[in-house]
Amino acid sequence: MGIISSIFGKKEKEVIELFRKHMEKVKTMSNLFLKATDNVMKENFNFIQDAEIEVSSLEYEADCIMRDIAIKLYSGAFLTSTRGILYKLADLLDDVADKIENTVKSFIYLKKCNFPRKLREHFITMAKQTSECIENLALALDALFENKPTLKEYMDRVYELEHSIDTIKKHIFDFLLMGARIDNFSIRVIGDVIDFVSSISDAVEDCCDQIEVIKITKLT
Amino acid sequence: MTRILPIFGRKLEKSTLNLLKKHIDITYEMINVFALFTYDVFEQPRKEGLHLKKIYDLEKKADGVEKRLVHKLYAGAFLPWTRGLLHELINMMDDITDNIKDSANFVSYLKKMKVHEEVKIFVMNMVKDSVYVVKKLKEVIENFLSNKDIKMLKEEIERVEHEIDIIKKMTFDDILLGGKYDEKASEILIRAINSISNISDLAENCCDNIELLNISK
Repeated sequence: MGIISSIFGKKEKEVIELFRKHMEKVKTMSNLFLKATDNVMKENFNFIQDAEIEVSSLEYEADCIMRDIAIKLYSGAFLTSTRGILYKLADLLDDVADKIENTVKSFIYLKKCNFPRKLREHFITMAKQTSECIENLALALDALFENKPTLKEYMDRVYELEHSIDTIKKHIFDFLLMGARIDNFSIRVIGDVIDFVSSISDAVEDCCDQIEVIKITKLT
Repeated sequence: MTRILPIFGRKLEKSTLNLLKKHIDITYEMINVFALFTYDVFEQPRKEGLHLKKIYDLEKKADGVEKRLVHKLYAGAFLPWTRGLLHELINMMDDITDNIKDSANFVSYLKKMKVHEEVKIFVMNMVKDSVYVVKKLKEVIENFLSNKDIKMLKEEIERVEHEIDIIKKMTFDDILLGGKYDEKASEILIRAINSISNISDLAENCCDNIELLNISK
């Protein structure tokens, strides 16, 4: 434990533990998302059907942890002024879980799509970078709670990855809308799925912005 | 700014609020470049490349200002309620720049498409109105910082935002019911139009937020 343990009391430590638990859940969801991406490429849509159920249940569990954080915070953990800041972080972390759920659930619609080979590589890179983004968020959160000097490094990596994902998204849309000769249903569905995937790293970036806020307020 | 300073504090708080002004100045420059870009895509497609790069550069610059602003916001002595509202305002202002960039991306796909004159006029009018809305938002922020009334400007933004919604509906009718566009072209046009109309929606939300900040003064 870092500074948190020396300054704050039992309730505060419980909140921090719940944050860690929530982050673990998001990481599990992220691993499932990565496996699902792989299976989309292998056209193994049976896996996707199972993944849909699993991601839904993980999101529900993440939601429960988020509610526990809220209850603990508003029943007296931390000072009034910092409560809101931490609650916002929990809320944003929950957004990441929501976005992963939406993304995995959208994969099934790719079943009837003509997914151009050229786009597949971009899609896999985008998914890997998204997962790396979440890994770095977890490391940043840990660095925040443990007061490690590596925090900035992890956050910078998230910003870098988010920018890279945006660039890949632009390439995919360039290809879909300008280059490829594919049917309109596929354009629509692939476009929507890409939007869903990129929304995950946007949500991760928002979490990092909030971590920055916590860091500035010297809460930890 | 003199009247709000006793509430917002002094040096650091003043420089934080000055960054709001800097951000909206960049946004205003961005939307003007976007208007030129849209015109070039429709009328002289060979010239649009430079404008797109400029839009990307300005978005990055605005992003930097946003990050500095948030940093200063939480380092300064703002009241928690005010701080929360200001943070929301900054996020929404930054969403405007994101939407201008997205709009430019989608408009750039129109250069190889046959866009009919009516839709070109609709899109250009939406862009022109969006420029006007951002100009008014810039005035709202300047008035807010100098403690002047924003009521008239806010009403004007609401009026033009409504006008943009009407043009959007007419454009959608033309695209989806007119039978002149195939599905791919409709998809690109709809994405571009939705993105452009988001700009004025966000500007309207910024005004609502500033009104709350004014009340909290």
